[in-house]
Amino acid sequence: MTALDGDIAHLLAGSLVLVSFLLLYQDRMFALLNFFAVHACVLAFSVGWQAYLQRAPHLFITALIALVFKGVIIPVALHRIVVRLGIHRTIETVVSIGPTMLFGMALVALSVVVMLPVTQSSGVFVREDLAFALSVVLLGFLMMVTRRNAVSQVIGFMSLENGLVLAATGARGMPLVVEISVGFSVLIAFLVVGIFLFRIRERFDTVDLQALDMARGESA
Amino acid sequence: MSASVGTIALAGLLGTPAFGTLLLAAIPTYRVTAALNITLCALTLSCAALLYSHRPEPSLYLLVDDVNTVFLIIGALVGFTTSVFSAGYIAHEVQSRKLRSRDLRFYHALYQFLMFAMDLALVSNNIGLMWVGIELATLTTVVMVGIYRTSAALEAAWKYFILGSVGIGLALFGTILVYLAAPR
Repeated sequence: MTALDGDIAHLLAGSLVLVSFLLLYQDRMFALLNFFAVHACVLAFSVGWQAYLQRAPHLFITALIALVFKGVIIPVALHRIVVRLGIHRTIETVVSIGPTMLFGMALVALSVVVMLPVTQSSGVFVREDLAFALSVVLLGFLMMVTRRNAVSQVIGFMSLENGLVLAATGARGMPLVVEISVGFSVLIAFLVVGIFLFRIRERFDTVDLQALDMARGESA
Repeated sequence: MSASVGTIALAGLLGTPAFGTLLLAAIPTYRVTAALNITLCALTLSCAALLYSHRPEPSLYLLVDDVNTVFLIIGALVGFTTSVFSAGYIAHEVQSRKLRSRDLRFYHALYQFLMFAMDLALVSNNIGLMWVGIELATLTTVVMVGIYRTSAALEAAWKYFILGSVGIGLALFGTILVYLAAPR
């Protein structure tokens, strides 16, 4: 492995963190869905590059699953759901964009500080990949916390799963059966979410999750 | 001899609920599915009981040992007794028109799938596969929580989905770190 190979791997993993920030910055639904598709494509490239570097052909299948499921099927399906529910205007945020971005930067710093010392025995390569992966996971969390809209919470969850896949490519020895079933269970999770979006809309006339809080028995 | 009986019991333990999911999804009458649900749970329970005396050889992905036999039998017993209770409960819910018979077809199929996912999580010989079992069990439960479609049920199901899936997401991260740290 030459220095250039490692640099390309870092570039791709770093781009995933950058696209996570772009996801955090979006305030329109369709732009959010498009950037989610970009997120999945960058992930697929990153996993594919790792497959080439590690000479691990089964990782190509993981990359293909990421590209087909998360890069194409899920964004297209979410696009249709958003059109059918008529919620394509803007995304209501709990905390405004500026502080969210600052908080996101703090989370990236946190994951670097946490990951680099504890993984000293592994190679340089795996260490930095894991730090990037943890940042993507934490940024996904941040997105789920700061958005009130059900669709953007789901996007946050899916981008969190992308971070997990990035971490999994660094861990050699994860069997293919597991990676495929992880991919499929994400798809099942998405189906469940799709059903619930329609039911929530049918019952509450909105997918703003604050309406769900109002339904709680305490205030009545 | 004992090992081959154990292998059949293990296949029955996972195969009965997996087959039951497809079977119960295909039958529309809720009285028949409720009775079949009890029968399938009883079969699963007897397979789990057989595993107590007959151990199959550990394979690459599945393992039966002293610890998980205990939990398999407890789980199958709880599943069986609950299926007996739920048959009566569900009949009442249909009479008071809180659930439609289409919901029940769905409910019984998911009941078997939940049993399958829990058994898979318990007998897996690989923490990745165990994670998949737990994830499937969580997702099935989410759908079952929301089956009444009232506002309270939807709220509970959505929050359970978010909390549960974030939790198992972190569990997957932990699993990956274990793979990374494992000596090879």
